Amino acid sequence: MREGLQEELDELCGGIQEEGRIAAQAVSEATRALVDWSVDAFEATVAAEEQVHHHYQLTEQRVESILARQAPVASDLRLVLAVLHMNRSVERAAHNAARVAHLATPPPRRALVEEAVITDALRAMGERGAEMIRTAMDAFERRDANANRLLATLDELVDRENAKIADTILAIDITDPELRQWASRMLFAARWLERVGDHAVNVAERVTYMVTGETSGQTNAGA
Amino acid sequence: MDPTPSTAADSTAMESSRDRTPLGALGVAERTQADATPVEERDVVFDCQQVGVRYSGTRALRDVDLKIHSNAVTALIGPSGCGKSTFLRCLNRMNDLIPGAAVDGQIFYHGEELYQPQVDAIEVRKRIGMVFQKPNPFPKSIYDNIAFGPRVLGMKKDLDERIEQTLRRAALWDEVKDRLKEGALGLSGGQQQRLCIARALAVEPDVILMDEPCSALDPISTSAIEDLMLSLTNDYTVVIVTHNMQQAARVADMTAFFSVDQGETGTRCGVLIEVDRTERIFTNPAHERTEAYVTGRFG
Amino acid sequence: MNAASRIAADHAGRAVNRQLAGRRNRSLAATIFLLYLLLSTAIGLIALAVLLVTILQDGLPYLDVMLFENAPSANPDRAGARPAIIASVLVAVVLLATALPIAIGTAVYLEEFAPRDSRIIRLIELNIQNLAAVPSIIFGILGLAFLVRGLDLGPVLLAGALILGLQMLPTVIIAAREALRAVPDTVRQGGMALGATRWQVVWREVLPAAIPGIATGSILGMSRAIGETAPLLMVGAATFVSFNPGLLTQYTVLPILIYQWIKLPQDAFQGLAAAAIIVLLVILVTMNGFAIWLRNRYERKW
Repeated sequence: MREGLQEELDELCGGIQEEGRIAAQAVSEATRALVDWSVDAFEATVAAEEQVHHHYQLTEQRVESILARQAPVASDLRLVLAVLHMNRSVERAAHNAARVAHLATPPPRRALVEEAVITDALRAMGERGAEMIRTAMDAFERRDANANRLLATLDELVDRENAKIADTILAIDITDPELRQWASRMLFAARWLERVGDHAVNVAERVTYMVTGETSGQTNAGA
Repeated sequence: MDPTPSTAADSTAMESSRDRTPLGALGVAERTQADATPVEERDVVFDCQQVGVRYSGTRALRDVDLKIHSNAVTALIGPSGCGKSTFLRCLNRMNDLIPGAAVDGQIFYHGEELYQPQVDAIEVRKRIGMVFQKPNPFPKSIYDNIAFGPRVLGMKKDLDERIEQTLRRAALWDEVKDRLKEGALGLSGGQQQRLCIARALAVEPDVILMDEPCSALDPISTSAIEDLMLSLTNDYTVVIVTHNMQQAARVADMTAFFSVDQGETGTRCGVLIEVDRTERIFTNPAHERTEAYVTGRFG
Repeated sequence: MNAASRIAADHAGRAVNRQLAGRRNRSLAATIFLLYLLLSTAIGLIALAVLLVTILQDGLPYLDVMLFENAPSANPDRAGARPAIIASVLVAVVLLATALPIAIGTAVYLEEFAPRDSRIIRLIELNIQNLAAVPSIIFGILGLAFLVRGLDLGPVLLAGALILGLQMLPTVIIAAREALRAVPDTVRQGGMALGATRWQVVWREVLPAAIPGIATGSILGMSRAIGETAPLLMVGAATFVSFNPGLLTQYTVLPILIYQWIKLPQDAFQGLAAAAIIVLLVILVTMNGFAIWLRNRYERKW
């Protein structure tokens, strides 16, 4: 029954999955670009962001078309609405990854004791962010209403790394302008990577809504 | 659509007609209920308990427990043969007219049992009007169509005024005021249906039952009727049966989903699956069968 | 396109060709059938035309004022059909006043009020159907036994009219029931849903809506009764009446007068009979025409 609608919904789900996969990749690549100062990774990030944006537009068109032509209700409606929101979050995550990649800059010539602490923390945040996106997309695939809790816990860890970076950077006695520039760039990068985690949490929240019809009200507003 | 507030003269006419009838002593719902009151907290017009219907011994509907609240649109949806129309006809005792039909269970209308022996079905139908699937104006003039009810019920005073009021209420006045004496069958389908609604309003009912009122109409006429339904809830309680789920989603405050249970002997019997606020039925129904039906994956 | 699909398409094409050829054969059969139908119709029409022409030829010279003014007479030069015409009109009036209300009442009861599943009602319905098929001479015998002799009315106009009415009952009842049945149930439900009683709905809505149909059926029934001869012969319609008949006098009607005149040897009476037939025909055609006009004028599409 309603094979046409089912086909379109399947297509929509496939599209957002692909979008999520590329966005996770973008975050990974961006992190590599940032901490390893890899030009390849930088280019890969930019390319991935473009792909994600393309998927974002496709998904939006599909949602529009399904709403206009199929008038979905109940679980179908919740699926479409969830995808509409997830689409935004995933696209924002990829966009944040691109911002992170653009912040990549050579480390300061003067050796800094804290450098390793900061880059390690950034790497951890990036890897975790990418993993969170994959986890959230996996939860969507499995219609897992409880993944939002796991994601919230993971987000805690990301937030903690972010706080650690901020504390470390603010504790450095900055007089060297080159160092100051690098440190502030890393501070921003940490901020964007932190947001990636929030977007992943948003995705999981939407999955919960899709499955149960209830919103926990805990979603992170804004981008 | 203008939700014409009932004038003072209007409401006194209603009072007097209410007093004339034996059922008039019942506490009829306050006509204007703040829109802010949640549907579930408004007065209960019909309280149906374990309602069932049999046709010549064959069960067509069973165990319907349903409350219908005042000044709201309640939609009955469900697949063919689920007994939703049958149930609707229980509410104004139209099933009495079908030989062999028997209603069991209890329906309380403002607290009064409708199927008590001393309740006169004619009185019930005065207070609970009905509009049918196919527009069924009488083959006479527009004026006489509206006048039929008041004439039959002896409400002959200020008939012209009553007819104008009623036609305005049904958003039809501007279209027909210059041809009241012309035949009603010359109107378009949508106009005929609004005429039938006006005809029902002319006898000052409390409830309007509508049995798939738009199934024979084009989309423009349909939305005119839907607008009308919404404006009617200021003064009346509306119950509609519809095949069009989108229509239920658009106009109903509450939606009741009926379905068919297949007995082991192959007998089919209608049952009420769930009733809830419309937005809930169409976003997150509690019952799988409702979900399957509203998403179109029934069967 | 691969080979297989080309072959398939080829087959399909040939199948279509065969079908088209078949259709040509069938159209020949259709033409023959159509000719047969036209011929059948023509035979009826030709017979009717010959009849009409003969009657008009014979009767028109005799169709004058005298036919309406004078009473029958042994002298064909003075003979007229006045008493018979008056009697026919009186019969129509009696039918209108007795049989019609009874028939309509019966129809309304059976259609609107009678319990559907009652055995007695079904028996009555069956009887009405059968009555419509009873030969008219039987009605005549009935009239003779019960009205003329049983009630001792004697061979008067009223007795004849009543028996014609009895004979007309089933036809009109059936026609009136059809007309009532044609009023859609939604009209009844619409009325009932407004709190009207069944009686109010029938009286104010159903009956008015059915009137054209009932009128058509009644007129056709009456025109048949007016053209009727056999039962009247049984209940003793006189053949020679020279006075203006009343309800309780002896009488003759147009068909019987015609029958009587045709039996007479003089040629002039044959002409008079033809003239009377024209009068009768005009009356019947007018009545039927009026019925058709009524039907077309008030026919409704629900």
